[in-house]
Amino acid sequence: MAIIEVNDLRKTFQTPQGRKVLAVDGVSFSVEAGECLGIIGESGSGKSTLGRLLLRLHEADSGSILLDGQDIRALVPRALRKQRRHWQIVFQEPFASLNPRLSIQQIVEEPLIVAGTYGSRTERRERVARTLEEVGLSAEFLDRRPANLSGGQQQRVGIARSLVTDPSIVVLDEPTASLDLTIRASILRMLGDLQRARGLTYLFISHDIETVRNFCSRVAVMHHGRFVEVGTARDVLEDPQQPYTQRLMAAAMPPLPFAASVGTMSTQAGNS
Amino acid sequence: MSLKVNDLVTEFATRRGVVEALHGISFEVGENEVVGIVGESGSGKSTVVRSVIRLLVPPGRVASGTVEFAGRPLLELRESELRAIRGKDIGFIAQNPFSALNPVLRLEKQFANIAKAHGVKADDGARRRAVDLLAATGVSDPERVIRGYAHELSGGMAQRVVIAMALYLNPRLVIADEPTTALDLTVQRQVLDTLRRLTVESGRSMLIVTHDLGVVNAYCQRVLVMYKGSIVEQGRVAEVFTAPQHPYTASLLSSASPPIEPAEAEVVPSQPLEVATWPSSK
Amino acid sequence: MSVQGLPGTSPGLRAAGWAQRGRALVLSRSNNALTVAAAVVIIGLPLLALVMPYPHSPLAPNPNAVAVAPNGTYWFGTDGNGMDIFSRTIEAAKLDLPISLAATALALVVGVPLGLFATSGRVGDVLMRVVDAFAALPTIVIAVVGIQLMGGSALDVVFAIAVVAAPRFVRLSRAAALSLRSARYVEAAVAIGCSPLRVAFNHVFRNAYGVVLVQATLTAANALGTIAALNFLGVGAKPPQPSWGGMISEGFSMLIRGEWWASAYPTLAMLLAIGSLNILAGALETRIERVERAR
Repeated sequence: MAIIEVNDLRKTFQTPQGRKVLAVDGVSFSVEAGECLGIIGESGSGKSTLGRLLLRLHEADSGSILLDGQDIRALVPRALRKQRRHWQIVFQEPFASLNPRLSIQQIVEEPLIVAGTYGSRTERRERVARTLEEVGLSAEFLDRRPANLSGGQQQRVGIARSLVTDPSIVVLDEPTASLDLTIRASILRMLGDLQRARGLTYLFISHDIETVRNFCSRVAVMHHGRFVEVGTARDVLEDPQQPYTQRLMAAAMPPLPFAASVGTMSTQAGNS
Repeated sequence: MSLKVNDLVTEFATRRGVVEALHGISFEVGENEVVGIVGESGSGKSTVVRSVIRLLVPPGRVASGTVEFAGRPLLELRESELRAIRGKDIGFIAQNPFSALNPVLRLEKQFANIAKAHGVKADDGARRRAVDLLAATGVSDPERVIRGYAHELSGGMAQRVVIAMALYLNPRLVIADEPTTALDLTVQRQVLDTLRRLTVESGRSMLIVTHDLGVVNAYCQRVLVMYKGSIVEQGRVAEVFTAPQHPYTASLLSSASPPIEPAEAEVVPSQPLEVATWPSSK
Repeated sequence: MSVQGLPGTSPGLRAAGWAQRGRALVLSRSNNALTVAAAVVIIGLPLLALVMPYPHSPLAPNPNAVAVAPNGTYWFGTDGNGMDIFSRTIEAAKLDLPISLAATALALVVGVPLGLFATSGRVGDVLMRVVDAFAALPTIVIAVVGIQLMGGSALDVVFAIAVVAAPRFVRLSRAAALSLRSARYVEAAVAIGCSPLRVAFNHVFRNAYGVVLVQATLTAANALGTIAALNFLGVGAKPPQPSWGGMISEGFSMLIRGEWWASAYPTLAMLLAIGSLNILAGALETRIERVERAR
C-alpha cells in the first residue's frame, strides 16, 4: 500500500503586491513505503511548497493528503502535533534550521520531549546519543552549539533531529544543496544507508539532476506548480518525453567529459 | 600572456595571529583562453581572484608574489592606476548581481558612470553600445530595461546586465566569481553561453571561479584545482577530469557523480568524512 | 578555564538552564569597576535604607533645625520642616527603586507574552492598535490620571507605570516574533511538533531575550524618572513619606532663597540611580552576547 497518497493538491499564495501565485496547481502522486521519490524543479517551481504542504507546515487550499493512511488535513492542531514525529523534514540550510542558542543535545532531544512518549530523561539522552552516532557524530558534539560545527556536521544534526523519533516518512528539502561536493557525497551516502537500515520513505526535493539521478528510484519533474513528467529515474532522466524536461536535461552540465547526454554547448539550450 | 600570477601568498591577520590563506599560487591565463578555478568552500579560490585584482578586504593582504597583467605589475601599481585598469582592461563579475548594481540609479546612469570613470565620453554612441551589449547578453527589450532599475530584474536578467557592464569598455580579461551559482539551471546555461560568446569568441580571456565541475567541463579549456589554499593540480580540463593526478581531484570527481546506484549500492559504514578522505583510486 | 570569557571556554555554562544562564550573567568574570559600582548603587541603596541606623529620623521634623545648611550634624542639611535631607534621601530609595523595578517586572510579564502571541489575527491587530494608542499619549498624563483614579497607593503607582511601560515590551517581543516567525529553525520547531507556547518561548524568545532584558533595564531607569515626576507633581507618595521627586519639589521653594541643598541631594541620588541602571543595561548587553556565544 502506498504510504503517501496525494490527490489534486492546490495552494495559492498572495504576493505583497496582491497578485495571486499558484504555487502548487493540482498535484497528485503516491509513494510506496521504502521508496524514494525525487522531485526536480527550478526555483519557483513549487517543489519546496509541495514538501511543506505534505507535512502541513503550510495549509493547502484544497486536495487530500494521506500519510500512513491518515488524512492529515483533517487532523486538529493538537492531534497533528502528536503525529508529527512520524513525518519529518530535513531543511536545505543546515545552520539556519538549528536554533543557535541550543546545544546539539537539546536540539536532538526536543522532538522526544515534545512527543512525551520516549521515557525518562536518561532514556531520552541515550536515544539522542545513539541517533547522533548513527549520523556519524560522536558524544563530544553533545554540548556544542550549531555555530561551532561545520556545515556538514550541522546537517548531520538536522538529520539526527528528524530521525530521533523513528519516523516513517522524511521529506528531504535540498538537504545537500548548500554543502560542498565531497561532504555532499558523504551525506547522501549516509542518507541512503539510513533509508535501507530503517526502511524510510523519502521525498527528495532537489534542483540538482545529478543528485537525483544517483539517489532516487522514481522522479517527478515539477514546473509552474505541476508535475510535468513522472517515472523511474532512468526513464525520465535518460529519455525525457516532455519538452520542459528535455530543456532541463539539455541545460544540465555533467562533470565528466565522457558522461552521457552532454549536448554540445549552445546548440540545445535555448530553443523550444 | 594575458595574466600571469607567480608565487602569490595571501594572509589574514586574526586574533590568533597571521593565517596564510594562499600558499604560493602560480598560474597563467593566456590570450583568448578560458581558465577555471575549482575548489570547495574555504579552498581559497575567491581569495585568489580578490588578491589578483586587489579587492581583498582587510585583514586580508597579499604578503608576497607577483601578478602581471599585460606586462604591468598589478600589485605594485598605485591605487589610481589600478582603478584605471579595473573595469576597463579587466572586467569583474560577482556572484550576486544585485550587490553589483546600484538600487537607486537607472541602469543607463550606471553605464554612463562606468564610462565617465574611465574617461570615456558618455554620449549617445556610448549609450547605444550599452543597449547593444544588453541585447547581445540576451536581455529582451534592452531599451526599456536600461531605463529601469535593478529591482525590476529577475536574477538571470540582472546577471546579464552585470555581464554587459563588465564587458562595456571592452576588457581583455573577464574575471567571473561564481557567476551563475545563484541562478537556475536553464538560466545558468543561457548566461554562461552568452558569457562564452562575448568573451572567447571575441578574442578575450576569461577566468571563472566555480565550485561546479560541470561548468568547468562545459566551458573551460584549462582548470586549476584548489584545496586549502594551494593549487593541487592544473592542466587541460579533458586530461585533469579523465585522469586526475592528485587524490583530491579524484575524490572531488567521484563525489560529483558518485558511482552508487540506489538499488544495488553496497552498504558503506557511515562515518564522518567532513574533510575529503582520500579514496584509494577506484 | 576562562579568564576573559572567550567563546567556548566556560565549562560552567554547559548545562543550558535559565538558572545557569542567569548566574553566568551575574557572575561573569569580566566585571569592571563601573558595572560593579552601578550594581552596588541599585541593590545597595534600598538595602541601606532597610538596615541603616539613620543619624536622624527621616520622618520626624525638628522645629529647631529648619533649613539648616549641610554641616557636621546634618550632612546634607535639613528641609523647610526641619527634616534631615540625608536620611530622607536614603529612605526615598527604599520606595522609589523597588517601585520602578516592580513596575518594570510587571510590564515585562504582561507585555512579552502579549507581544509574542499578538503576531496575527484580529486579536493581534486590535491589541496593536491599543498599544499604538497608549504609545501616542504622553506617559505622564496616563500615569497621573490612572493613579488618581485608583487612589494613589504605592501599588497603584506600580500598576500605572507598568501600564505605561508595557507597550514597549509588546512591540519589542512582537517584532522579534515577527522577524523570527519565518526563521528556518522556528519552522523546524513546528515540524517536530512543538506547541505554539513552546515555539514562542524556547525558540523565539530565547533568541530575543537579550534585547528585552536590556530594554527592561532602561525602562526601570525611565520609570525612576517618571516616579520622580509624579511625586514632583504631588501624585503618589504622600508626605511626610519621602520620595526623590517629592523632596525636589519641596526644596524648590527654598532654592529661591539660595538654599540649594534640599533639592540638590535628592536630584543627585536620582541621577545616580538612573545612571547606574543605564550602565547596567550596557553591561548586560555585552554580557548576554558573550554568555550566549560561549558554547
